Amino acid sequence: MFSTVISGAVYGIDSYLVHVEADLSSGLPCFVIVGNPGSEVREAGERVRIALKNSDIQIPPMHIAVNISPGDIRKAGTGFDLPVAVAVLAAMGKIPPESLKEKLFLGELSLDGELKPVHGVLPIVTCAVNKGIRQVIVPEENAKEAAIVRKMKVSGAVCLKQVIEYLKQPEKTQDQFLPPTKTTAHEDMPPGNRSGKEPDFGEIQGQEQAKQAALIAAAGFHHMLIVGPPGAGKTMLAKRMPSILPPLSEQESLEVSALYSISGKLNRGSPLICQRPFLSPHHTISPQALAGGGKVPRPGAVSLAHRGILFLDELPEFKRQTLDLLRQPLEEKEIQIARSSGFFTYPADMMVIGAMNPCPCGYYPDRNRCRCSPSEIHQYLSHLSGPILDRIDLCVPVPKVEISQLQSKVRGMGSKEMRQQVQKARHYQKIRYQNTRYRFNADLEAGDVEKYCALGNRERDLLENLFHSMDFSARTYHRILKVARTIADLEDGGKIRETHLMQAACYRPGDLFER
Amino acid sequence: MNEQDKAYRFWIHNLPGVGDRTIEKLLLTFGNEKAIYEADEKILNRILDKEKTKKIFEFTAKWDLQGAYGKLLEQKIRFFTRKDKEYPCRLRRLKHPPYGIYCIGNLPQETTPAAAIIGARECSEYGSFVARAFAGKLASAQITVISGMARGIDGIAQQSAVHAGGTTFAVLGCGVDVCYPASNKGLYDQIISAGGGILSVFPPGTMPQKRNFPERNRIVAGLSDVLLVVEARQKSGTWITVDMALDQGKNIYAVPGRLTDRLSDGCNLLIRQGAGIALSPEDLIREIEVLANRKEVAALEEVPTLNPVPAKQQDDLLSFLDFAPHTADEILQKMKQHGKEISLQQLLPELIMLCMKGQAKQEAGYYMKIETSF
Repeated sequence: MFSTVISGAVYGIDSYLVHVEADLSSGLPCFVIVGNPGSEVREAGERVRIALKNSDIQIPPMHIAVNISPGDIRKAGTGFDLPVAVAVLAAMGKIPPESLKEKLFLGELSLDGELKPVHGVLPIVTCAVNKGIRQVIVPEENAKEAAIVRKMKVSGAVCLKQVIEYLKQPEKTQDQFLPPTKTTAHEDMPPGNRSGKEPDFGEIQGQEQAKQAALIAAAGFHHMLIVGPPGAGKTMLAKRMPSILPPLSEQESLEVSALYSISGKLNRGSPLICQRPFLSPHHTISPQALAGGGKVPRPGAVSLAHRGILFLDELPEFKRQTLDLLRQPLEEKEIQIARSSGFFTYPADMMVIGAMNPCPCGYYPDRNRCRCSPSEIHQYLSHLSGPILDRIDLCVPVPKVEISQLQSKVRGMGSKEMRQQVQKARHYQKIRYQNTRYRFNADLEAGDVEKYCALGNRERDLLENLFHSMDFSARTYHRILKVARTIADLEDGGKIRETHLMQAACYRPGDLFER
Repeated sequence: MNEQDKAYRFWIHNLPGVGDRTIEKLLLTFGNEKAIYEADEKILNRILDKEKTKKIFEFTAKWDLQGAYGKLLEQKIRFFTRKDKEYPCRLRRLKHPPYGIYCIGNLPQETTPAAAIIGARECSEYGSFVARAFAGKLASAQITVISGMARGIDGIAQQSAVHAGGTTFAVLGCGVDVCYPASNKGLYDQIISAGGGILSVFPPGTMPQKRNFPERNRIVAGLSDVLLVVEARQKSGTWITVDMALDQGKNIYAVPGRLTDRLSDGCNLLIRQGAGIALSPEDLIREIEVLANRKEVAALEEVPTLNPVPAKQQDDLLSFLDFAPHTADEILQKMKQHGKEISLQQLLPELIMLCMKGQAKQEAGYYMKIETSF
């Protein structure tokens, strides 16, 4: 007897469907799995055999062969347990073969026949719905995640016995036996959904300029560098950035959720991610963990921060080799990883916020406390490679906060107010970049900067003046134009005026980095 | 007194383990360097211990007498000992004049007054500004600026002197052919081309070593008529120079600073101990005038103010800036305390305007005042 069951797997971040075929034939009793299985897939045989036995199903002493096709991709993951078991059962004639049509099975089995959750359900189900599959049967704990995908019937099962019973039922009574899972995730995600507990910019006293810079960064999706002594509030500022970014769109939300699904980082209760991710890797992070690593690489921190914020605290403490990995994602908004098993491309469109002390001791230029020599400071800053700094449009100093500011009753601008401004600026950008590949001012490439950041005669003269008197590089010139564009968008979306240019010039990474 | 003798002197100055005092001792016995060179081991052994003699002979065996001196001249390094008439008189007056001095470029002129400007290596913006201002004025008043070409105050003062078209001399704690710190290479070349000189009492090739610096400081003090301390911490290498200068009976001036600035502690302490208070470069110039009994420093009146008259509002803003760097937030705060309410968006363009006019500068988001004169 022969049977075939559809399942799916993730390779890198791409999902594909597989056919799990089982055949029982006479011969020496054994259980083989072929079709390029990885070690965890090979172990499926043992788990399935025992799980079946413990589900009161006697396996006949026959030669059982399971093939997972296509055979040219190495299969990894534990999601094949359930489809293998179902395929074997169908081959044994315990399940009617027609009940398996247009269904996808996914799940890990424990020895007593219980179904365990697996990674990557969301992208696999998304792939399945595109290939015309109408129903998936997954472990109950994965059901909510699978149900995010529209136009897919999702049945969450607790154990193997339940799956067998379900498939034996006539179609009419199936839904009564195991009601399909419905998700409320989409309804849970109204635009601007805020948990109400997230940190607010209103809690920051003083630091006017830093807040202004945060506003500009959020509005134009500019990368930002915060420089200041210890305890000035650099981390506080960065943690509040997600609160002023516009909420994720549904499409973005699915992209991010899929990445988290592959990494097994989804919250099973509410699997759809609707908050912008905020990742803050420690500076000891390895290059693999940042970019994505493994034989078939898992998404790294840059990809997990996709559509969100990658906060790099103590920027110069990161290994230079690690930081240099950011060059490609900053440029192309995705990261390519080459392994012996192939090339993998992961999305990595994030906003980088760096925080650092201005010198090893942290207090420069306060010479009463800082005794670092210029060469020590230079040494410290040289950890930052030029190409990384070049990509950072905004640099803002965060001074020590005075006690009077802390005790002041006046609350500064809060997140709500800032968010409205950001949305206004984004609106102007949306109109401007219609039918182009750009989304934000920060995306503009050198060739198009002049086109979208047109200047009047007076403004052009001013910029030329600035250029000469402050010794700009060509790159700084473009950075200032882009930032000025965003500042103008925050006001009224009109032409770039002199004041915008001059404000933008204040945010350039200054001489500290050009020594 | 010919070049031949100089080769012997160069040889003796290079001997390992032989310092000025040993040379002195040997000269007392032998009369001149040539005799020492030709002396045999037994005789030398009577004056020096065996170890030392052995080392000397080992060294001499490898030493190419004419070649080494020829190489020195090729490098345009001149070598003067007390027997040369070019040897600076100021050094002759020291309690223990150094045996010899090397120079690239010129030696300080005997008749031109000289001031030493010294201070901390890790100086503040205030210190660097004062060093620049004083050195510039002194140089324009035809006063030679002597310093150690170190990082911080020393280098800044000498750079400023060169800019003002003056002559300046750098006394190094290493060989004259070694540029230390390497970051001052530009200054090193400029000093020479501007008619000044690089001086050292250590043979060429000597690497900068901690123990060389007190001697270097003694020479800085020795070559100058007055000593100006711009910025120094309570514990600082500058004190060595000050002590040496006091020993030599030189006048010390210190630039006063705020009590809260740790970098001014040394200067304030000096003032309490009776050092002159340098409120303007003219204070020093007057002092030197008295010393040199010169009638008037004509150049003094000619120094023009470099600042154009700034516009009204920005002049106001400028008064809120400091030589110490401050962020825009801090400036806003300060203005608020003085009843001037202005938004950040208004302030930033104003600050950039100041930077464009060269009245202020920005460094990584910090703003500070630049002034070219008091």
